[in-house]
Amino acid sequence: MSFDAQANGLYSHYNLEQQQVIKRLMLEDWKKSGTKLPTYMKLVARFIMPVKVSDEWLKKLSHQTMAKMLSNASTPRYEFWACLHLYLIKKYQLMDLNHNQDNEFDRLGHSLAAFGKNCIKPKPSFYRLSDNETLVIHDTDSKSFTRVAKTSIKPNAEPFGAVIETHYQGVATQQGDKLVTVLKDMVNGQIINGDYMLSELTQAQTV
Amino acid sequence: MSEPSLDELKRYVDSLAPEQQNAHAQKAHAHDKSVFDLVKSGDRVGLYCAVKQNPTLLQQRDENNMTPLHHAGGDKSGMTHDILTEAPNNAPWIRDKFNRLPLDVMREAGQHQVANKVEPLTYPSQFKQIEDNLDKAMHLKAYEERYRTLERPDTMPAHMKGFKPKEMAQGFKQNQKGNERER
Repeated sequence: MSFDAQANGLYSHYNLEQQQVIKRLMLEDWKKSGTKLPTYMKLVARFIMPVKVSDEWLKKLSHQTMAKMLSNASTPRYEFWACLHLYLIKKYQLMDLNHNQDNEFDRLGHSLAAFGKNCIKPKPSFYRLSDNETLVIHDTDSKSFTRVAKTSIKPNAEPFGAVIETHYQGVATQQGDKLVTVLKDMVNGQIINGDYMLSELTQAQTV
Repeated sequence: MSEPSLDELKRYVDSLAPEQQNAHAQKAHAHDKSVFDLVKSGDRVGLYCAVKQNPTLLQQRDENNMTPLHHAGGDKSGMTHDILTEAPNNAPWIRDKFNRLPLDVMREAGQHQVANKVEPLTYPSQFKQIEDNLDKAMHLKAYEERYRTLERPDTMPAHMKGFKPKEMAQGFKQNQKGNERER
């Protein structure tokens, strides 16, 4: 019988965030093993062999591919990530690769909608708040709120001055023409509230 | 316009008179958290001069127990990171009040370009094995020695602290049950 990826808890696709979780946990696991990379990759392959993974998949688990992935020289194919995820499932029972921040923002969204009047979910959009600020409204399953992301850019005209980008993530709900947002500065955790009149916002492009 | 390199910045600083270099370095001492202002405002010349004159600034903490390196992801070019990590120091393994390493903060904030730079310093023994560039390998070796000196601090992200091998986790549960029975 062929290997059933879904039945073994594997995803059909690994996005960047999920790849980063796998990468980090493999680094931790490799560190604990105290072995050189070629030996470690052989151990990983041997660990998942009893699950009847196809030889084609196991071939992707080379130390060269792992080295290129770690040094960001290339992004491996799906089978590589699936093998690593399978290893993490078998060794650590790690089924969920999604960051617990998703739950945090879901709770925040429900609270925001519960305390507001006539809250509806804003439409997915991309707004330019000013020359240096953008707001992206994502699509979510909820009926009363949605996830938002704000990026703020601080230019610096001094010699060798760095352009500083600040990222905020949070939730938003719509009350009539008003967009109510609660955003978290992802570096220092500071929470910022912001209300915007949708009719006054400049839509940069549709997401 | 392409981003200047750290070497170009060093040449620029070297071209300044000592008094000018000192004036830049003093910006980190306007108040006790000024070094963070330099990082957050993108003043790379001030930051370079300040840490060159006083490397202890690399491990200074703000109100969230964060080091300047925790804030370095805002400069996507990575030069602020390079300034803060050129001289080997403990910052990659210092946790903030939310129990996050600089690497955790950068990943959470989606600052992956800079996170990819700090990741090898957080895991120097692993990345040293795959580094082809001799200078970079030597840099990682210096971080590896520092990591050993610090008695190998924990690098597990805070939100994955419960991450234990299945057998260990089961053994832990069994022990717990045994303890409950004894009680």
